[in-house]
Amino acid sequence: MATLFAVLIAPILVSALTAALRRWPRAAALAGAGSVALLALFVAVVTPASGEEPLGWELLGRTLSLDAAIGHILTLLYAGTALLLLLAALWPQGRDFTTAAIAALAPLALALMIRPFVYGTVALLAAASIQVGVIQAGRAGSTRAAMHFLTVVVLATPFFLVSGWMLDSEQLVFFRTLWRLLLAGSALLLAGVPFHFWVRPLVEEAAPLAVVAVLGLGQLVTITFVSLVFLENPMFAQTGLPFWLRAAGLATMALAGVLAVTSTQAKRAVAYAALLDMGAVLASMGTGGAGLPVVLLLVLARTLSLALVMAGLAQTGAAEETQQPPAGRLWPVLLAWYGAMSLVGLPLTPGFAGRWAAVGLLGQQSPWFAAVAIAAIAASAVGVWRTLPRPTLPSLAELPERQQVALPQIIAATLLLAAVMFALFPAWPRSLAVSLAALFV
Amino acid sequence: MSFPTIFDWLERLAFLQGMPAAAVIVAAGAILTVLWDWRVTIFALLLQYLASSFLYVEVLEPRLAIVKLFVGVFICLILYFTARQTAWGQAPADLSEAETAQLQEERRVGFGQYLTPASVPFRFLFALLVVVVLVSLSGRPGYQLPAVPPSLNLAIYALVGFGVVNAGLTAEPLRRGTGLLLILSGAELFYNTLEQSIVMLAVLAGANLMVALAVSYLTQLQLALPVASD
Repeated sequence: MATLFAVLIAPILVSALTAALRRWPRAAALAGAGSVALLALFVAVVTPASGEEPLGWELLGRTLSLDAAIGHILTLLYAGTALLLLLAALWPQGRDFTTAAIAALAPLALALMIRPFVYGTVALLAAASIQVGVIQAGRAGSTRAAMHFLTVVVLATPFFLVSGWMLDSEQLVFFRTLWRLLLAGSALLLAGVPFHFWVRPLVEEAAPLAVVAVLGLGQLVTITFVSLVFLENPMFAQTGLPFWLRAAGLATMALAGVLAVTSTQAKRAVAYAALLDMGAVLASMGTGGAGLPVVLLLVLARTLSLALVMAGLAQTGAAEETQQPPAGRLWPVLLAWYGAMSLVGLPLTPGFAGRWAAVGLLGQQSPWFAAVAIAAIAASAVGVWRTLPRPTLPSLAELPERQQVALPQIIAATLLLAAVMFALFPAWPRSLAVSLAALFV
Repeated sequence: MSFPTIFDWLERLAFLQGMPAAAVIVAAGAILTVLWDWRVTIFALLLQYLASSFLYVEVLEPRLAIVKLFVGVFICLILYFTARQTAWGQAPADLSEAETAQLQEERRVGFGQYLTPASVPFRFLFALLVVVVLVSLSGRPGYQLPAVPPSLNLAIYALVGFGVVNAGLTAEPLRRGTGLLLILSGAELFYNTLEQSIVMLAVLAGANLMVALAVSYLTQLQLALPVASD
């Protein structure tokens, strides 16, 4: 019961604590980071090993279970959130960011743990209502990004509710309708064309770390949720669902490539590069069980890439227009460039391993699929290249005699170093994704 | 003298159950689409929740159906207080010129001595079109939802249809949020017809309230002036 309390109640309590500390955003973020890191440690310790009996509870007649696969995903979610909050302590993201980011952890965990999955759908809706606070973060003015995000999750809810009822009550007479409902719901949640409209406003308007929280960590939970629905019902492999997932994924990648290459602003190009990655995830999901390690590898690399590029862009001040960064600020530009290239999936970046595996999987289905994916990647790379700010080295005369290294620079260097290590030794993230995926089978 | 119970009220208002309640939902959806005054929006939403609760009586225990009405009333109260706090979407009187320039008023057209927002004729025709499509589709056998009586069929189509229309017509949080709440109402009505689960009823009620709070939060922030809030 202590585990259930830690997973479902503790985030709400910690969130309330950080709300009380809202006047001191750095202290709130630090307290939140420490608490969520402890939570990650706790979940890592109590998660049963592979092959062991999962932990189970009854809640209002419904089953909640924590097995090895879900436990590891939750550990990654908490650890990632703790790191984001640590970064938020350095670069405050907005009045409500910390409180909402921690509160959203409870329904996100519930969505993965509760069965039947129809209740998980409602938990995802509750999480989206809280993530609205992460995206808006107390910022006055345009609410387009948060409203678009809430809209897609609300639109997806009826599809999952009805298909959940059909699955639970074994209404196989509606089987043809069932997989179509799931396809529509999945395309909505995972930004498949034409439901991609929320991604660009999110990257353009939300605080940098909010983008990482929603498109990286939030999507990790959503992707796991959708994958669990498909894996627990293997009959979907015999339907048109895999084909249409691949088609939706490829269409998303192609559109992202076209939009990226015509972009004139850095943040837009980055948004379309993220959309390209989301398309690759959808397409990989359509390749069946073999696609799961690739999907996990893609979303983990996306989280790291987005953290790099958003932190870099925020520091360069290139939020809206392409502009040269102030002389001497090389680190943020390097971060943004490396992160964006990783998001596109170019070689020698952390995103390459996942992108290459996804292209390989699609190539096994048809060489044309791989060709479309490679063309989309190339177009995105061109779009990112054209719009990101160029690094400019200060002249010797401009350099101060003695420059003090600040904490943000150290953090940026650590992030960049971690990304380079992942890029140089791709076997480590790949083996993590493969072992994670093996837990689901 | 004894206070009338839920069952007494239902007996007195029996004439509203079935198709009349579905017709009220269609009318409320059309009002929400055409008239964008916030007072009218909240009133039409309340009307929709009231009519929906009469339809829930056909598929749920009356004691559970009344819970749906209470949730609807709470949602309308949340939106009402939000609207009050943001002066019903109007700009405060003491704004400077620079602050006024940040707010974009919709263009107005004149009909004789009356001025109306330019999009009203379009929205009126659109709402009319949606009503025609809803009524003709929901009556066709091929579009009959499984295990759903005809009145509920029309109501579910109307809630989801007008919900999507309202969510798509504007990005303004209160109006789009109203559309999202309509979609959720339609989905709930359909789900509760298929499965009468008390747990799901409670969970969906909670989710509805959370969406209403999110809409309220965004409405407040959209109308807060950056200068004042930062």
